[in-house]
Amino acid sequence: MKIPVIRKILEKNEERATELRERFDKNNTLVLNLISSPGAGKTTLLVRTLSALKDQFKMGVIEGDIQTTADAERIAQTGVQTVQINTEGACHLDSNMIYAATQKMDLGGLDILFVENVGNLVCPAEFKVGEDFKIALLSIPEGDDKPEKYPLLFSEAKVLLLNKIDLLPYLDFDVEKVKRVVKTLNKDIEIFMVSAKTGQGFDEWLTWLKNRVLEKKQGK
Amino acid sequence: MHEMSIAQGIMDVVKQEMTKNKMKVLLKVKIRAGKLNAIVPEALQVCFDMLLQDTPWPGAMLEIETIPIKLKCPKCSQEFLPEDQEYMGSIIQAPCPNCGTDIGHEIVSGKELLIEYIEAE
Repeated sequence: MKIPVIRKILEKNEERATELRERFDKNNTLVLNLISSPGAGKTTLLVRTLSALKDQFKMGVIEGDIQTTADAERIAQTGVQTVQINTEGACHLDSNMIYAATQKMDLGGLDILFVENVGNLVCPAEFKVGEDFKIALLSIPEGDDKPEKYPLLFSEAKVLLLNKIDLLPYLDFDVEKVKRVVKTLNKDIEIFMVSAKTGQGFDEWLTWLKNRVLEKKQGK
Repeated sequence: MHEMSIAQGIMDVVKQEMTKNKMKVLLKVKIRAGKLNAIVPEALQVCFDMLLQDTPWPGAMLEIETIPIKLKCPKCSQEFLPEDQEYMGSIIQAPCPNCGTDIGHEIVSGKELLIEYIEAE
């Protein structure tokens, strides 16, 4: 016999993500899910961001990688609380992994929790991890066609960070095209042009972060 | 390769539904997958078949219906299906066929990931 179901395939992940989100909201912790392809500069961006804000905010990082603890070690050098998740092959983090990682963390009074997802533009966009916002990072050397090829992430991200802009003079990357394409399905997305290496453009990004922390403190 | 996690998700829901409806043999699962989810049907099939081996019904079938991307224009509210559904680039750069607006389209469908029904006895 035919049994109608109509249930979400990823409902288990979403239920756990909702639980996490409620916990973070109660704590007024801003949670950001950082997503990009491998090598776009997530860790470098985080190191610079953490170094700039660590005297103002209490922050934590959950670091997702398929293998190795190299990135977590780089983050830990900033003095910010870091937990490494090794997915051992899985190409994205899910809410259960984040739940397990938070068990090892001191979440009390945390202003910002950064989740650095596994480098991948497809799968991480599909799995909620209890975040307030997804932050997409696209680096100039990857090419300006990526938002067309991976529309789900770019349609859901609250912020797009165009990283490695110090390389713009050397590469054929059409910034205006990327902005236009991304806004087709996401007109309110904030786009910041940065270089995590030189610090160029960081003021706007840090201001955006500070404002979101303030809003979260006010329970918005 | 999110197909394995998705196959696992299907299996979780199917097992609950089998128990809830007191069914013994699963014959078929029908799912709806939005085009934006970028699921590779062949890969999902392989993962599903692999997970079935650990169940009492290894011969069950999986039917995947791909849901095309449908957009809604923010200016004139026209709903439209971008013509070329195969190439993502032309989907998300599609201007509204009615008024030509090309910014701020709302995604009406193409993001769903649902189990529609199961057949069992």
